[in-house]
Amino acid sequence: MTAEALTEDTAPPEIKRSQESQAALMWRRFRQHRLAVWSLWIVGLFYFIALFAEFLAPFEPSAYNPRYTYAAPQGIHFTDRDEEGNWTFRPFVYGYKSEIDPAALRRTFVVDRDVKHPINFFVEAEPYRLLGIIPMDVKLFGTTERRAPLYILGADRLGRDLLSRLIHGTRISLSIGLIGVVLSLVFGVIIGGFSGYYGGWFDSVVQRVIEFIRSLPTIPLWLGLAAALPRDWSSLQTYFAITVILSLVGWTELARVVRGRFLALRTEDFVTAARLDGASDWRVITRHMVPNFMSHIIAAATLAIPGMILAETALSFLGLGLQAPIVSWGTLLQEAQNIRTLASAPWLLLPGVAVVVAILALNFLGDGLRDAADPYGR
Amino acid sequence: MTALLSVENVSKTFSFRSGWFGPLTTLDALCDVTLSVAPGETLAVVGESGCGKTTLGRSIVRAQPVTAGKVTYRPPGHDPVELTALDKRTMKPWRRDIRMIFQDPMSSLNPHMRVFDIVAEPLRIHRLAKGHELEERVASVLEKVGIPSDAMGRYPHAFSGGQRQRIGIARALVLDPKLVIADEAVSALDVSIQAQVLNLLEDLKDEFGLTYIFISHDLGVVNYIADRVVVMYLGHVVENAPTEALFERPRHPYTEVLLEALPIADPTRRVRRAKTVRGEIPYLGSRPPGCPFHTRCRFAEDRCRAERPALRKVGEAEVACHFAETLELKGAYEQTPATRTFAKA
Amino acid sequence: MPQTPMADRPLLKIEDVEIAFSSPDEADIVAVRQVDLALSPGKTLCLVGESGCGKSVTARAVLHLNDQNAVIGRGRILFSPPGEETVDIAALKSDSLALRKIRGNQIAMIFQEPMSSLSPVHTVGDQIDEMITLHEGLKPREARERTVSLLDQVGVPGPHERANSYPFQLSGGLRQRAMIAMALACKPALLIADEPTTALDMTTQAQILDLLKELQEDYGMAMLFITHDLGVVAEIADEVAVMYLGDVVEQGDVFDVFRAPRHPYTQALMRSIPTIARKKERQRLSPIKGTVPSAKDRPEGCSFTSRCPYAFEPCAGTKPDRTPVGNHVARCHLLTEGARKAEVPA
Repeated sequence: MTAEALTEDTAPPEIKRSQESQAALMWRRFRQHRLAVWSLWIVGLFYFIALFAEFLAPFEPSAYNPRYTYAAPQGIHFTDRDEEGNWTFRPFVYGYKSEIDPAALRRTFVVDRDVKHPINFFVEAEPYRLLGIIPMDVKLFGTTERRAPLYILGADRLGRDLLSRLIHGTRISLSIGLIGVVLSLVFGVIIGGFSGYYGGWFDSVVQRVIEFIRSLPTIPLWLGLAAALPRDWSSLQTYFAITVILSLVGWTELARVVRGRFLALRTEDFVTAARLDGASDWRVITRHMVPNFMSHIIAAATLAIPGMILAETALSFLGLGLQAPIVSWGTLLQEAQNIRTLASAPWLLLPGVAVVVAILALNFLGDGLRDAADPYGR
Repeated sequence: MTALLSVENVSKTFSFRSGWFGPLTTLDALCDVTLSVAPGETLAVVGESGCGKTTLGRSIVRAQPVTAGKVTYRPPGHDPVELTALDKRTMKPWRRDIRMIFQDPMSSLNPHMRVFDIVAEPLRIHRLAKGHELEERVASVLEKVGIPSDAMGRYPHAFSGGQRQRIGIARALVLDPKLVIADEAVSALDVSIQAQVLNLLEDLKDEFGLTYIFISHDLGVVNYIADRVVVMYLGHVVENAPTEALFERPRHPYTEVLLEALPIADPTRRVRRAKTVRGEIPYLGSRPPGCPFHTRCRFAEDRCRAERPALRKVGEAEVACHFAETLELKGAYEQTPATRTFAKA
Repeated sequence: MPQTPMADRPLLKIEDVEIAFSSPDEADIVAVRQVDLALSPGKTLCLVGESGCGKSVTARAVLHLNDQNAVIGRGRILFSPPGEETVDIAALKSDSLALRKIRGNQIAMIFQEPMSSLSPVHTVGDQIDEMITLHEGLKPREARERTVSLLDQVGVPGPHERANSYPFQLSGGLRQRAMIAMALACKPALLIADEPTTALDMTTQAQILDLLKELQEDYGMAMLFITHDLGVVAEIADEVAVMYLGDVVEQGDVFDVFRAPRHPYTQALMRSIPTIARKKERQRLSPIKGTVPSAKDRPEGCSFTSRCPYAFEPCAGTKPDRTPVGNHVARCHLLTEGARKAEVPA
């Protein structure tokens, strides 16, 4: 009956692309963003480290050795020459010998090139539980000689291995960011969603509350709240309390994003069309609105993680966040607070490098996601 | 013949505050609008921005409640239903009969749903079909609007504006409606695509026995498709007449102004306008008292400034002008161009 | 307008221009493939076509207003202001002094949405003042006098007060008038109008079209008018150029083209618009089949091939030549078939 029935758009190469969902289109746009793709790998690596911290770290974070305080990084060597002069592949570290600095009358460690400690993979270790659940007694790498020193990135004032502490700190710092954002997201989506979909007085009240919270200076607020935490709480309790404190402010930003998307989508014709189909509020929200702002929310949430990580680092650095037995990037940096330590053991600043790399990667990743989520961006 | 749908004395007032403590502002988008559409008729509603034509459409489909007045739907073989008195639940069955086509083919389709799901959505909501039957109904309606059924798995972004508008039409028709409200349904389309969609709408009307309320600002399109035309200005109906009567001899000065402003694609009909078009549409919030058009009307007298004319019968038309009987207004048909036939290039 | 001996030379001549958009990940998109146009002083040339035909890109190229990634690949844009040397605008750099001298001074442009080209934080009067002082070096007081008289001339009621309004305080029609006043500030020889009435209401559109016609007579300026509406073309044009997918398919005297269009696309376009006719004389519209393909699927030959009801063997592969038909020219193989067969041996 349609005399002008369409014969257009039948070009075969187009079909594959036309069948793509929005998610696939987003992924394609994301992949064009080189920096974001690299960042995705880096962020993935960080979270992998966080997940398998116990397995990857050669020591427990609290394992100390008074014989090696402030031992300098050994570095790792992969190839060796045997007596006949042939090159062999065999990772090893040199041992230490201690010297007394005659001027400062201080004991320092220098790398002793005569002693080699070979590094083995999948070495047996004290039994531990991966993620506190899975019992294991193998670590990714270590020395076979029980007492041999292994300080690839150096040691701190109690002779604890910085690498192991950094790996365990990664878990705490990154998970605080993630859990904090998830908490913020739950608050943000529920409150922002109601605010945006129903509008009216509820919306006005929520907006004023958000404005109030955002007008509070965050550092003093966090300091106050963190200081109010009971001292006798276990480290796990403190950890969760700090997360909640961080998300108390964090949710406002996400609530705004969600509300904004709801407001914009509410007036879209396809949402009106769904309502005119007789669809229930629930169906309109879940089938027509949520899929259309999911990508924006993911991008906004990714961009919120760095803020959380920085906040935790700042609080812990000031000594008000996580407390000593817990290892996070912030508590590690606390060790590097005074100049003297820094002068004699600059490697203690390495957690700062980890913070910078993680924050940059998360920001680039978030930018990439945001650009990919916005179909009108380019 | 009884009307399929009648709108009686409908008013719609939007009120909002600027800021929290600002003064309450009200906008009368619709003022005492009365009109009706007969079964099988195509009724066009025309006017410029702010005339209330879109608000009228949205009020009829109950996308928003009205402030006053009633909308009555008379389904064939059923008692009349007063739509304005229904709530969300009781309105739902009538949503099957009264459907809407939107202006913007880009924003009216959910970008996250495949074409199949978009068209199937109304059937699913009303639990009218599932499984194989659902698939068949969707495929058949898509075919009727000229979308090949093998394109059902695609997402809207894979289609051009005209094709998307066809999908929008399919979504409206899949429930076998009686009345379709098309809000500027062809305005966003290029001329050649617009012609395709207009023809499609005409064909579908015959095939499905539809009644259209065609909301548009384009008098050329309206003259082509409508049986009757309602002209609106600032929320008022100023003239309601059969299409030919209206284009032949408009009865309201505003209708004349609209017809004169219509650019006709024929340079030989190019004339210096008599400057009948004066001023601009006033802001809706500052509607003048008396006749809404008096600020721009070349015939305006004191009576027009003081007294609002009621809609009354003049010849074939209903007009809201104090002088409708006496005015000799210019129509658009005068020098009708010959129908377009060209020699093969 | 002073009559110079060279008055019969075209004011603007676009010769064989190609404009391509480059993008980092994909092949270049040739938005405008081949455009030849000529505009005489004081005349109006309408560029008409559907979305994506390249009409706006062509017009913007005259002032180098396209995005950075648009490159004029080929051809010349010759501008010959009265009493001055001819300049090839295509060869100028977009930030060169020579081009800046032309922009706003000899060629002015108005757009569909005046809000995007008026600054929201300055009053309308200040913006027009600035144009005048910049180009003519008048004192502020004199400039304001000119501004007020210009606003009056373009039909802004209460020009003294309106000069102190910000753009958002004006209605769409008034904003477009203010925009026109600004364009006229330096008495340009050429006004480029890019869909200036598309966003306006019908009655306002009619007023603006009337205004432009009046001003053109008063100022003796030429107009390059871009629109998608054949009704507007019939209303305002002296000459018309119909564009399709980057090509000018037919152009010439507006009366001639509307009376006897010879290119199948022009014909089809005209058959697609509903005529204002009584029911008994009304004909079913005969739309063009299908949709406009994207520029990368454009055939080597005539770009209309895929939708043309008369397409035959040479259409897809060979570009048709400009063929004079009556008082105008068209590019279609149907018009040159005989000649072509005589010329080309194979």
